[in-house]
Amino acid sequence: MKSLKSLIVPNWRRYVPGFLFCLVFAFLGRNLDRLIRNYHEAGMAWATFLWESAQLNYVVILLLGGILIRNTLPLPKALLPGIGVARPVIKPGIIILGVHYVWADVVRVGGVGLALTVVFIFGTAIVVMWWCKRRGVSDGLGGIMGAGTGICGVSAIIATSPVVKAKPLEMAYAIGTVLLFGTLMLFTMPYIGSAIGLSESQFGAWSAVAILNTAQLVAAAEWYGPESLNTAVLINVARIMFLPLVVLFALWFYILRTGKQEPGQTISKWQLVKDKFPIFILGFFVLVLLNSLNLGVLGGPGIVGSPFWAMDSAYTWCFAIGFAGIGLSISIEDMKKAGGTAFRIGVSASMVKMILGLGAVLVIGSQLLRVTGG
Amino acid sequence: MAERDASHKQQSLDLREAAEEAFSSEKREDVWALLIAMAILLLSVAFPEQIRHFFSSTLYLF
Repeated sequence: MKSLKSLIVPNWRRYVPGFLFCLVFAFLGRNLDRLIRNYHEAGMAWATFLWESAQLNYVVILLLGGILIRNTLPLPKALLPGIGVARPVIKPGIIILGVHYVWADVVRVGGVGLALTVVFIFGTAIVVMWWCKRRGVSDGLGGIMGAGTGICGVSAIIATSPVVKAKPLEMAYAIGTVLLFGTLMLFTMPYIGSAIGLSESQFGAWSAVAILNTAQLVAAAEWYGPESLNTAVLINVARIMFLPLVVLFALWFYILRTGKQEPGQTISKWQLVKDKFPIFILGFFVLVLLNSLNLGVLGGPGIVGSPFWAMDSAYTWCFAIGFAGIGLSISIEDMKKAGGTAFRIGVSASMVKMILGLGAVLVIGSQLLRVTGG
Repeated sequence: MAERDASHKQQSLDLREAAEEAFSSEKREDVWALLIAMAILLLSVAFPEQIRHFFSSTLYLF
């Protein structure tokens, strides 16, 4: 009963108006996407320009439209809490996307992704924390920036902050920097990818390495194309599994290694790993397993009339609601909080990771990164 | 000095509480994501044609 109660968000009523606003916005965005595509298919020149040249699909409509609405219209304050709640609706979309994979994909693409993830996550986290220590940056800021630039942005910052005892201002700087960079990458990387001729699977892997925030990474990959989304989501799942280990590393680097543990304080590492593990990815793996078993009763996303075929139509709606939440929550005022040392660390680490990540996916090539879905 | 210490301690407590709250909400989000996906799976098993039609046609005006 207690665990059931814990599922209900405290003061849930205050989230309703903003969430409904996101639902309506997502509905309009998806319909505008369909309208432009229909006119493009009917041969209307303006629609072809918008669809092909401007790449105005629902991802761009919801992100850019959301940013415009948030920063130009006087949005009632009552809408803001609910807008924040819409962003995580991307998670059920990621779980449902599990029907696109079979274990062979997880082993091949996930294996390459795992190698990329280990090198880039731990490489970035270790280098940033070590560099911050050498430059006399506080443990709090160094720890959250190492975790934030190494792994999945805001979640990693929040997860690591109590361990390294980060100050509220340091958290604000770090979160501002991560959001600013994620937004810049989200809007520039698809154009860079197209300009240098990256295949969809290569772009998916590149964005999974370089873009820190899961929601922003899903948006960039979905914008680039369906194959890109499949690769990006699989590598991202491999990446976020490492969140507890990065927190554990920060604990060792700043507390255990330096003997800063408070007298009498016991730290259960297993409890820490359990607390920080993102359990929603278990649902993703269950669907991959069910799809790999090729059960006639569930079919597959390409088998008309089967449950997986039906389910496959739902994930874009989950993403649309999440993208509406992202666009509407990008406030230029919040980004102005990015600054000082956090900004310099974020700029350096993110740029290096982006360039090295691009080099890595160019060397690996498309074949190893392509999801076949069996 | 003592005042500054107390304010620093309070700040750390607030931060810890905020981080714990953020993380419990993250766990809650994860459980909700699993429940929503499971509900869609069950509905898709029971009514595949209707679910597909709902997400691919009903929700579109054009």
